[in-house]
Order: sequence, then C-alpha cells, then structure tokens
Amino acid sequence: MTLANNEADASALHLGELRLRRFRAGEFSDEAHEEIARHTAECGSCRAKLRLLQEEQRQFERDIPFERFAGGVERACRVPRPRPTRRWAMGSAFGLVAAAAVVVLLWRPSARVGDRGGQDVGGAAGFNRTKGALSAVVRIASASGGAQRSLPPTESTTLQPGERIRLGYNTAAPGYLVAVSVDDAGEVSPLYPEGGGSLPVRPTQHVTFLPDSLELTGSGRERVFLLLAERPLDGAAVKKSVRDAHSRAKGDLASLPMPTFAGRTDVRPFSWLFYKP
Amino acid sequence: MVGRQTPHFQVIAGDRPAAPDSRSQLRELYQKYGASVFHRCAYLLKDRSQAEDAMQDVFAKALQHYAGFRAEASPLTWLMKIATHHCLNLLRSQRAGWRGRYEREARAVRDERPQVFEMRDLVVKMLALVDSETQAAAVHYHVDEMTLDEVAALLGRSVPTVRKRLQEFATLCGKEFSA
Repeated sequence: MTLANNEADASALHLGELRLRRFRAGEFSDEAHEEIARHTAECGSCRAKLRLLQEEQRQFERDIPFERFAGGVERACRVPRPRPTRRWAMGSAFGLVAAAAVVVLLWRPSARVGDRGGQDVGGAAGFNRTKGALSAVVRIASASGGAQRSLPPTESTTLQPGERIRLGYNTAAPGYLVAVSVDDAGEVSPLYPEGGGSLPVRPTQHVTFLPDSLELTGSGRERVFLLLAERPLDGAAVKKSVRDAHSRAKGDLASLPMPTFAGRTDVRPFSWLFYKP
Repeated sequence: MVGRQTPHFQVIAGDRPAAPDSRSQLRELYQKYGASVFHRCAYLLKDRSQAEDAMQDVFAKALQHYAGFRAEASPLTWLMKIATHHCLNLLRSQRAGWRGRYEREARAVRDERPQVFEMRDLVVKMLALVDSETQAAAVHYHVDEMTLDEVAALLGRSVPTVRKRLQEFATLCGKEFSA
C-alpha cells in the first residue's frame, strides 16, 4: 500500500475505517446508513472490514467485561490517574527562572445557545446568561494529598515543594476556554487547550475544574490569568496579547497587566500570582 | 520550569466535577465505542494495560461532558480525537522511553527498505520523528482513513497545512503522497 493510493482507496473505492466504525455505532442518518449498507453488501473488502470491526467489539467485550469497564471509568471520573510529569522546553537563554500561566475563558453570547462552533466539552442548553455569575478559582493541594486551599483571583501565594494547582471556573453561559503559560522571558505556551483554538465550556452551577493539574517546578514566580469573552479568541492572538502585556511590564510578573484584545470589549480577566518553592 | 500532570489530588466536595449519571450511559458507550477507543489506545501505546487505563480516562472525559459529547455530530469522531490526543500526550510524557523505542523502530524501517509495511504499522513506527500535530494528522488520515478535509476540520487546521504536514510525513516514510 502506498500513501498515494490510500486516499483513493479511502474516499473513492472503499469506505474509510472511521466511517465503518461510525456505521457500526449507528451514527448515520437513515439515508446515509442505507447507502453504506448497500455498499457493504456489494463490496467484499468493506464487508470484510466491517465484520472485523464487529468481531473486534465482541472480542473487546470478552476481554474487558462491562463491570470492569464501568468500574474503571467511574474511578477515572472520581480520581483522574496520575501520569509522568511533562516538562515544557521554554527555550529561554536565561533558563526558566519564572513562568506565568494564563487561563483565558472566552465567552459566547446567549444567542448562540445550541450552536456548536467547535469541540464542546459540555452541554449548551438552557442557561441564564449573567456575567455577574462568572468566577474563577485556583485550588492548591500538597503532594501528600493533605489539606487543600483556594486562591481567589488577584491574590498571590507561595507554593510549597510538591504542591500542585488546579484551575476552576464557574460560568452562567456557554463559553470558550484557553490556557497559556508565559515565563519571565515572555515565552508563551498553551495550557488549555494544549494546541489550536479555544475550548468551549458549558454553563456550570458550581465551580468546574479543568482536567489537569499543574506542578510549577523550578524557582521564581508564576502568574495565572483567566479571561471571559463572548466570542472565541484565536490562540495566536492570546499569545501575542500576553507577550505584549509582558513587554509592557518589562518582564515583571508582579505588575503584569491583563491581556487586552483590540476591538474586544467582551473579554473579562482574572489573575493569580504564585511564588514557586 | 513548569510541569503539568493529570491531577494527583481530588478537589474536595463542593468543587467536584460531575459524577456519571447512570450505568446506562456507560453501557451505551461500552457497546458502541468500547472497542474502537480501546484499539486506538492499544495501537498507540502498544501496551494493553496502559491502553485500558487510557481508554477509561477517555470515557471518563466523555461522561463528565456527556451532554456536549452526545450533541457532537459524530461522538465516535470526538472520542477518537480525544483518545489519540490523550495517548500521544502519554507517550510524550514518557519522553526518552517512547522516543528511543520508536526511533529504533523508525531506523529499522529505513534500514529494511524496500520491505513493505502495512500503512498503520508504518505510521506508528514513524511517529517519533514528527511533531505532535503531524502525529495526530497521520493517525487520523492513515489509520482512521479520514479524508484530508475531515482531518483538517477535526484538527482545526487548514487543508493546505494538513497536506503539507502529511507530505512531510510521507517523505519521512519514503512514500509518495498525493491527495
């Protein structure tokens, strides 16, 4: 098989694997489902692939019974599994003395309820858009799993060795979330999402915490911003705005102004400052 | 330096993410999508135990955002994207371990030309040589057999950008790319 004929096979002659998986899962409309059923009835290759996928599911159910599956997923919901620390190469000639983390929560208007402009991480139905309901918080926990503490926006704190933070937000309307980090040298790295555009979020009745925790290794300071906006912001624009804010503060994270976006009045920021151990 | 981890601590009551609603949701996920997600994880991680853990993480995300997940035009596509992203992140977090292992395999591929590899085997052997976005594009294109347009839409990138990345990947694989 070559890459050249792969495309032809997938799009013109045969059904792609994902399409067949979706067919097996019953994701297509009646009309599309009928069309694929006709194709698989006539095409031996696709029919064989579909049989393999059906057998794959049967084998999966034999290997991993439902109770084991359900128990594992429920555990993962309660206590997400730790994984090895991933370190980012910030690329600073001066090393990573300090870094600033920026969380950007972008807002979308009530008129867009139900309109999914991207990968939505929550439902979008039936919310009361009240900007006053917006809030954000950072929760800090020790490595030993002892007592936790919260840090409200605009506050600063000194982290103890091994302490990690989780970023939480509370919204009354669907919005988008972006997280980036920036160091003293002005190097910005995305956090939420880790690449691409903004991350849609659904309205919440309580604080919702983002899925990963951050361990701020090394020494120096780190700042967190959280912004709310009615419309999505481009990741590159967020990075540029943070770099500009860093430049305006001459690299002083303690006096870093909130990122701004030209022509945008819908962006609402929150901020925290951390002193790393 | 900054490190990032999945949470080592569970946020205490009041701020806890939503728990799964019911077993019926889980059963539906299990029956419709279980094998697809598990095999994606096993394909990338090459370890069934790790793959089962990763699969559970992916379905936990789906449950925690169930309404949005169900509203997706294709929940399976969403799951496969999340699973791919999650596993590639896990591999990156292992750093030297996986890179060393995969790079040895990539060298073997080059040394053994013109041996014919199944495309999906070739893709996973060459992942260590490319950046994360190209990794995802290659998996969705060559393994999921999505079209160029579909991959671009899934990754939120333009078609020319994805084409360029796949062309570069094809060059590394010693293959011709035309789409």
